[in-house]
Amino acid sequence: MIRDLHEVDSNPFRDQIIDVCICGAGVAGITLALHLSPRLNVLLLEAGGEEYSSESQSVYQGRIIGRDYFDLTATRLRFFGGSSNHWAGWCRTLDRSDFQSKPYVEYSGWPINKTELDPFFNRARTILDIRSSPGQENSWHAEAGVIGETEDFENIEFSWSRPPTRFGKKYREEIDKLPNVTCYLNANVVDIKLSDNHSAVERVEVRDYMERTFFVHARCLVLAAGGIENPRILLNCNSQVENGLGNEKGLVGSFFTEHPHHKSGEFILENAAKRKLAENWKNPFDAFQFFSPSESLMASEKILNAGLRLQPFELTPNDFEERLKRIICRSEIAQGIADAFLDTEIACLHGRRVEGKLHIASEQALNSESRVKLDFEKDRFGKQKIVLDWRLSEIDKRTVRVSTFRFGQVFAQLQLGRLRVSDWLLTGDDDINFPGPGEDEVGGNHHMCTTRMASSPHLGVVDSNQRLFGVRNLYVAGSSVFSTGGHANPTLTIVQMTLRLADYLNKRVFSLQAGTETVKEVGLDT
Amino acid sequence: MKANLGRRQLLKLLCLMPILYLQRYASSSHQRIHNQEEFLLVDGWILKQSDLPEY
Repeated sequence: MIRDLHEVDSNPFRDQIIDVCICGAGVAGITLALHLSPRLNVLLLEAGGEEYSSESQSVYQGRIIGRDYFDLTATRLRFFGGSSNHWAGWCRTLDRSDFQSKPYVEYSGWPINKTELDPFFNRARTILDIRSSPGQENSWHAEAGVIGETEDFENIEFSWSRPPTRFGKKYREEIDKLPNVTCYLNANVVDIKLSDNHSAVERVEVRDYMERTFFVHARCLVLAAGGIENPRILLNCNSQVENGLGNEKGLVGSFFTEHPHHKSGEFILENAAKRKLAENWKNPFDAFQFFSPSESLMASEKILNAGLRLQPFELTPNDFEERLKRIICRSEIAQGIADAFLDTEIACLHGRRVEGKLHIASEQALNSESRVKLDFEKDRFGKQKIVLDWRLSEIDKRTVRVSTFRFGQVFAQLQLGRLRVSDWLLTGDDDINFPGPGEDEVGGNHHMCTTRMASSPHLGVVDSNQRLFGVRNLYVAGSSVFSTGGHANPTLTIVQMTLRLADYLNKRVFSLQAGTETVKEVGLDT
Repeated sequence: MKANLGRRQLLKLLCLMPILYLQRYASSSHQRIHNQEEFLLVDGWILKQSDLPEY
């Protein structure tokens, strides 16, 4: 059942025994509500309405003080379906290496392995309407050399949700019909009260836009409000615990991680590669090819993971040699050679047209200085707004630079073409000035790791079951619990992890009901 | 003869410059990969040594 909190006269949560209260009806919240056991009474709270409204969206206002970033009211959406309402549909699982600790990166690795998420892939694929990449059959580089067999790069695949699944639209009816799930719209979670010893959530304070306050008593609370809002909620719950819930070590909001998105080069194609590409050319999107540095390259060069997208946008006549000549002619050094020795032998042609670009979406190293924190200014509910201080470091620059240079070498060696490295990568790693908004894509609107999963509260905010350290019935879902970001778009992983969380909560409740585990072991209050 | 010698020295220097330039920005200490082919960085372009015209 879906109801609007504005349409109720009295507290609808009074005298209700709610097993699981979910804060946020986005990708994680809706997935969780749909996959919790029908034996559980589930309350799904959505802060916005069914459609976009400036009233709700303005609560996302915040300030940016670090690296320039997207407007915080534009990079996410605050209504039913959450940010899936503007999702582009890119899907890929994290790589095995993303879960492994890298000795040269502080805060690397997850407390779980990829194999723990693999069993949820097929269900996630169905939920997200994932179809195969149309480019998979167009292996146009195969003729000139199989890049997948090089030591340095792997040819990887992305999949797409086409059209992108809008969770609010697709699952509205199902949520509405589930007898065990009640969803309230315009229900803003503004505070979480703990028990006297601070070990469990006692009640959740909910407010609508008419400034009415309601209290929810739930056995278990799951925050699924997004990678920026999850930490904001926890940090704002500071009436009982000075620095906010789960923040004894100061890690809530730390490690804000994105996928830096940049054009790292442009290329011309050799004739053979061009001919192969032309055979399958239907539209530029179909021609995308994706590559990733191999585990051995990452280890030997001490770089992070990255996704390189070779994106042809123009097929010109088979004039590779002519184009190469132009490149050499245009360079000052070569011009000097030509002037000194060749006189008029090379007729330098002015103007250079490239046939595509190399785009890179790279992993960002976790950095405790890159974070979201509370501002002094408050929102309409009296809760402190967010300040985003996104920071990149030398290893982030090195990852993009080294991946691009090495890819350019492989590209030439395999006779695919020649790559020109973008100017901003021709400086050292200590110059960490990446291109900003207006010059490049900057990021993927992926907000990750701000309540990261870790093996101990010294390294993160939630345990391997996504439970907040120190609070036995408070869980967090979504990309904020990623331990690291990898390079893959996060939505598929969010769904996989949420299905895993649903399975965990279902099993725990059953074992509690069967008397095989205690409340403390299960993490749900009775 | 003298002019040719000067030109050859200049050519050698000019050919070395892009290699040195690439070395500065290359991702590791080794400039040769796989088939030991050398690469040059010319105006941002990663070129094979064989791309340059033979003088």
